[in-house]
Amino acid sequence: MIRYAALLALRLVVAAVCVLTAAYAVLNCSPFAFDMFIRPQLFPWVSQFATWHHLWWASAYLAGLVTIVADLRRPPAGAPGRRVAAHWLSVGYLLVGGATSAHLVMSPHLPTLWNDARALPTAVVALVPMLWLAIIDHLARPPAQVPGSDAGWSARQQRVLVACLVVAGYLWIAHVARAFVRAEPAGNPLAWVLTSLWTLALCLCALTCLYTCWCLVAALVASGTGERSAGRSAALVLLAGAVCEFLRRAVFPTIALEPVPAAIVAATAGITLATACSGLIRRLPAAGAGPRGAPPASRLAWAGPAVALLVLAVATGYGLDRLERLDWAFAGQKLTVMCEAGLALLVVWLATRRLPDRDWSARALLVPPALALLAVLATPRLALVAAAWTGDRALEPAVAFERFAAAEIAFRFISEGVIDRGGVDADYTRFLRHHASPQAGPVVIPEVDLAAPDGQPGRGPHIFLIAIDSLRRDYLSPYNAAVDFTPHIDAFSQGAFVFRNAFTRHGATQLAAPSLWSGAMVVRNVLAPGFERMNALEKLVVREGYRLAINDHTVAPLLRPTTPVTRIEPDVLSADTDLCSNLDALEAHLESSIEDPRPVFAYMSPMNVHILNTRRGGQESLDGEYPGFYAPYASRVRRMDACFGRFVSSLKRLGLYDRSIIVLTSDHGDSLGEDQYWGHATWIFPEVVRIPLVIHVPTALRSRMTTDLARVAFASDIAPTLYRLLGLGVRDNGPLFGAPLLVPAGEALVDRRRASFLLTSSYGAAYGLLRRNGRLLYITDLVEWREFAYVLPPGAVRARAWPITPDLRRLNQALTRERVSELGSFYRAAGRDAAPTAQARARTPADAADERRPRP
Amino acid sequence: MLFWLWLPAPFPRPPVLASAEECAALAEGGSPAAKDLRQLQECIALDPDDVDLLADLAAAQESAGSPELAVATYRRALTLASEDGELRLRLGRLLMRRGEAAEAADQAALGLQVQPNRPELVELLGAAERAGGKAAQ
Repeated sequence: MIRYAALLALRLVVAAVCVLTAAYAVLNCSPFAFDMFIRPQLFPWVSQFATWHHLWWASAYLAGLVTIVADLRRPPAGAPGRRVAAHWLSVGYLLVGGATSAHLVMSPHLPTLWNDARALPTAVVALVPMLWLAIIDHLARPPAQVPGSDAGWSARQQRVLVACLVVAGYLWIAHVARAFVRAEPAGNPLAWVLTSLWTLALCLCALTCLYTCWCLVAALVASGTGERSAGRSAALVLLAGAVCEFLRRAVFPTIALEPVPAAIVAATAGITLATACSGLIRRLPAAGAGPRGAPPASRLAWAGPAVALLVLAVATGYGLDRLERLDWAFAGQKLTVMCEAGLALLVVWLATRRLPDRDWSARALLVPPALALLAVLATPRLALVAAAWTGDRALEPAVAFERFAAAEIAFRFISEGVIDRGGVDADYTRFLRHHASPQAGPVVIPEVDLAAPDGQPGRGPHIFLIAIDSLRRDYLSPYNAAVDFTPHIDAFSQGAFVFRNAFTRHGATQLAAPSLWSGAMVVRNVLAPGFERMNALEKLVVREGYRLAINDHTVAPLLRPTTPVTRIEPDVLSADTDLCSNLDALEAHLESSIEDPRPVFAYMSPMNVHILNTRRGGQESLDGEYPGFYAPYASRVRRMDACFGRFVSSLKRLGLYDRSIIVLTSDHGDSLGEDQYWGHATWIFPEVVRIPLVIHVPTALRSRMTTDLARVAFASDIAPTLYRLLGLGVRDNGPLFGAPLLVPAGEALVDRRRASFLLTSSYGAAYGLLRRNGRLLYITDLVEWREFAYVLPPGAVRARAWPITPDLRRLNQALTRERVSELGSFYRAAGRDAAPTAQARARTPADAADERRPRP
Repeated sequence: MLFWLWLPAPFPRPPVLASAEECAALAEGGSPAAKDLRQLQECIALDPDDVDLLADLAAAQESAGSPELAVATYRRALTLASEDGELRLRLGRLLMRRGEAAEAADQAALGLQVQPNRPELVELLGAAERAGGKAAQ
C-alpha cells in the first residue's frame, strides 16, 4: 500500500505539471485571457512558473519515470503481448520524454509562448505524458487482476442508484443549509419551503440522470466487451464526458476561448483525466478490496462515511467562501461543487460496498428518474397554485426559485445544467458569437480625428483625468446620500458638473480604457499597435502642446514614441498602483516643473479598489465597519478620498485649481456580491456599467458652458468633451463615437433621449443594450447563457430587475443585433481601404520575451 | 449535474403583450406632437411608467388643444423622471402660456439645476420673473 501511495504522489506531480502547462497554454490561446493575465503578468507566480517551466517539466518526467521502472525491465520470454507492449511504451517514454526534457532545458518553450498558433498544440501536447503513462498502466495490468473487476455491471445497478440518491440528498442538505445562512432572511416562509422542494427536485433529477446514463453506457460496454468491468468503464466514460463538458461550458467561455480550440482541449483533457484515473485503479494492490455482499458489521460502519461527508460539506463551504471574491465568473466555485459531488459519490460508493448485489431491474432503471422528472415539472405548478391561493406574487416560481439559485452556487450550477432557460435562441447566439470571434474578419483600426478641421491649436488649461479602476458611483457621496466617507470628493463636486447618468460602454479595463482614450466604442483587438491612429486624447496632447504625465498599464504602452511623456511611478506593477502615491508623485512633478509654460495633461488609473486589492489581506477593512457597504472597498475609497482632497488643496496652493479641468471617473464599476457576483470579469450588470463622472472646469469656462447632467453620458464622451472645452469643434463621427457633454450655451447637445446604445464586456461574449436615456438595460450574457433586464432610475442608487417578456426579448435582441452589426461593420469594413495595421506583423519569440519584461 | 440534460423550461411564460414592440417603436422615434393620441394612451396603459411615452402624450395633448391634460401628464412624467430638464422646460412654457408664472419659474429653476446655463431655461426663468413669478428655490 505504501508503494501505491508513493506511486500516487509521483503521478500527482506529473499531473500537476502537465495540467498547469496546459492551462498556461490555454490562457495564451485566448486573446482576452492573454491580454488580461499573461501579458500584464497579473499573477507573478504564473510568470515564475513559465520562466522555470523547463525544470518543472524535467522533474515531472523523472517522477513519471520512477513510476514505470518495473515496466522498463524486459519481460520474460512468453509474457503476454500487452506486457511486452507496456515495456516498449515505457522505453519510448524514457527516450522521448528524456529528449523532450533535455530540449526544453536547452531551449525553454513556455517563456516564449504567445497568443499565436503555437498555443493550442502546446495545450494538447502538454497532456500527452499523463496519457502515455495511463496507457502503460492499462497494458501493464490486465483487468482480471484489478480488485473488484469480477462482478458484472448489472449486479451493481442498485448500489449505484443508492449512491446517487444519497449524494443528491447530501448536496441538497449541505447547500440548503448554506443558502439559508446566506440568503435574505425576509419573505414568505412558504417561498422557502417551495424553493427547498425545487432544489431537492433538481438535485434528484441531476443525480438520477447520472445514474441512468451510467446504466445505459454500462449496458452498451457490456454488450461489446462483456460484463467484466463494464460498470467501471461506464463510470470513466461519464467522467471523461463530465470533465469535457464542464471545461467546454463552464470554464472556457469565461476566458472567451473559441469554440473549436475549446472543444479540442476539453475533449483531450476529459479523455486524459479519465484514462489516468482508470490507469491508477489498474495499479491498485490486490489486497485493497474488502468483503462484499455481506451485511454491515455494525452501525458504526456508517459513521466513518457520515463524518467524511460532514467534513466534505464544511470544507466545501469554506472553500466556496474563500473562492467567491477571487473567482473568475464562478468557474472556480463550479469546479469546487463538481469535485464535491465526485468525492461524495466516491465516499458513498465505498460505504455501500457491503450492500448485497441484486439482479438487474428495469423498474429500478426507470422509476427514480421518472419520479425526479415529475418533481421538477410539478414543483413550479405547485408554486403557481400557492401564489394564486395566497395572492403573493413572491411565490411565483420565476421569483421564488431564483432565491437559492442566486444565493448558492451549487443550485445555480445544477439549475443551469438541468433547465433550459430558453430565450437565447440559436440564431441570435450564433450571430453574437460570430461577431465576437476572429472569424468575423480582421480588425482594422481606422484613422479617426475628433477635431473638426477649423479648430486652432491653443494653450488650454491643465487637464487632470483620474479614472480609478473599478470605482463604483454608489460609494461616492455625490451619488449616494448614505455615503459619509468621501467628504473631499463631496466638496469637490459642489463646484463641478456631476453627471448623474454616466456609463462605461465596456465592462472591464481592457476595452474601457481604449474607449475612454479614443472617445469611441471599440472592439477586441483594437488595443494593439495601430491604436494611435484613433487615440483621440494622445492627438489632443500633441496638438495642444500638452506635456503628458501618466500612470497607466493599458493604453500607455501604445503611445507614439514621439509623444512627450513623463511616466508616473513606472516601476509599480499594474495591480499595485495606488492613487495616493500617484498623486504625491504627480504633485512633485508639478512642483518641479512649475516654470514650464506648457500645460499638463495627467492621466491616472490606480487600482486601489480593484477586486484584486479589495480581496487581499483576508478581505479586511482598512479602518473598521461600514454598515450597508462592503467594508474592504469602502475603507479604500475613504483613503483615496483623503488623498484626492490633499491633491485638490495642493492645486489650490500652487494656483492651478482654477486653471485646470479635473475629471474624476472610473473605467467601470464592480460587482460586490450582488447576486453573489464579485468583480467585473465577463458580465455587464448595472453596478459594473454605471460609473461616476464629475468634471471640474475653470470658473470662467463654467459660466459659458451648458450641459444636461441627467442625460445619458458615457466615458467615451470625455475625450470629445475635453476637445470642446479647449474650444475645438468636434467632428460628428457617428453613433459609435462620443459627443461633448459640455457645449457653449446656445449650442445644442447631441440628442440621445430615444437612442439605444450597445455595451460590451471586454473579456466575454456579454452584450448590453441601454435604452430610454439609460433607464433600461437589457443584457445578453453568452457566458452564463442568460438574459437579464434592469430598470435604472437615474436618481436611484440601485437598479431593479425587470421581468423579461417575449416582446421585450424580441425587441432588445433585434436592437442588439443592429448595434452589433454597426460596430462590426465599422471596424471590419471602415478600414479596409486603409493600410493594414502593425498588429498583423508576426511576433517572434524575442518580441514576446521582450514584452514580458517589466515596463520602464 | 455532471452533464447537461436540456428540458423545456417549466416556468410559465408571462402573457404576451401584443403591441409592446409597436409601443417601443413609437416611444423611440418620430415627432412627439405628431403621434396618435389614442395609440399613445394604449401604450401607456401597457407601461404606465414609460416617461418617453408620457412626454409624447403630453406634447400630443398640447397640440390637440388640451393644456390641462398636458400639464397633468407632464407632472406625472416628472414624478418618474424628476431630473428631466427638457420636460421641465416644456411644462414651464405651457404654464407660462397659462399665466402660472410662479410655477413656471419653479420649473425653470429646477431645470437649470440639471441643465445649467441652457438659454431656453434662462429665458423662461427671466420671462417668468418679469411676469411676477419667483422661483421657490
